[in-house]
Amino acid sequence: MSTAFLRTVILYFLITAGLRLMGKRQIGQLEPSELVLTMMLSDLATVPMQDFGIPLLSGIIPILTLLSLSMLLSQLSLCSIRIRRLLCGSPTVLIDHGKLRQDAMRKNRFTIDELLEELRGQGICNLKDVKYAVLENSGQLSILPWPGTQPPSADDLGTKVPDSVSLPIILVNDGRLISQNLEQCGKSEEWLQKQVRRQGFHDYREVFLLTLDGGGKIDCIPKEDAK
Amino acid sequence: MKAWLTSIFLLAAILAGSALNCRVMERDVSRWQSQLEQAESAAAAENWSGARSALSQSYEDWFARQTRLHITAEHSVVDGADAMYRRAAAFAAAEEPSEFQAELAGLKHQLRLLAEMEQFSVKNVL
Repeated sequence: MSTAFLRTVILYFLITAGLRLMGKRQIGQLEPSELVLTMMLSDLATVPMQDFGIPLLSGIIPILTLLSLSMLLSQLSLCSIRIRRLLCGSPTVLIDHGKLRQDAMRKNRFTIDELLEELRGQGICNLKDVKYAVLENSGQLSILPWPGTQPPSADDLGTKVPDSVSLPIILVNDGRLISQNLEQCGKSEEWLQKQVRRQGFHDYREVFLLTLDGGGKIDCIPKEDAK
Repeated sequence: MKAWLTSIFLLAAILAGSALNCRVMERDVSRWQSQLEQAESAAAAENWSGARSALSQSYEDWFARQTRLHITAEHSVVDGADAMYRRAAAFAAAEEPSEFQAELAGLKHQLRLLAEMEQFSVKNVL
């Protein structure tokens, strides 16, 4: 039993580290090579977890080999477009200027029913409303409707909209000070304490979330047990 | 550049480790087999104390490498060879020449399998 426990712990951390190395993409957004890697890793990890008759090393070595190869190939694909195309494929245009490209659909084994399903999923009921539809490497369909079917933007209407959008920076997270972000904003801990007191608290430890945006606006959410 | 080097280093380390394990296994198996051959010749010459001593020396050498063997080789093959060692020791104690010779032949074959499993060969890869 202890063998199973320890093997599971080791393999769990190894797989977690491996998936962390793969990046931040979700399963649905994986490239073909990444999907293969994920499936192989999970299978390789479960066998030595359950079968004590085989050494743990016979699971770890293939996992490390796969991860190294994956890292090496992703580095190669960064350097060469040809290798990137070979490994990841390239996006295919299924609808070009409103014209359905049946040869591309056949080549990608994408049926008209699947295309219509994807369009309906994105709120489009008519094929004529689509200018471009691109089948991405991840298998997702990106759809660009004709501009005439979309609501006009402020730019289209020639209206000037003030740029009020800025990325809020988290300074306090669950009562903990994020010093790195505070330095990035060019503020000191004394300044923060002053702002916290202005919000009616004694200390930033009483704050659940405190953010500062580009315009200098502070948003503060207290901890439920504070005050 | 760092990611390149890390992955290449890791792959090279795995390959080197596998090659080293193969060499070490071949060397150990060859030594155990020569010890077993000594026991076999002693038994053929009716020198049972010599046969028992050679077998015991081989078993001690084998037993000292159990941790590494269990880390690198399939447990069923290692455990199978261990059981054969013990049976051979029992036949040597009972001074049963034919059973002893048969058990030693089986044991030597099992040890050869152990070394063969680690070899870089087309047979193993495919």
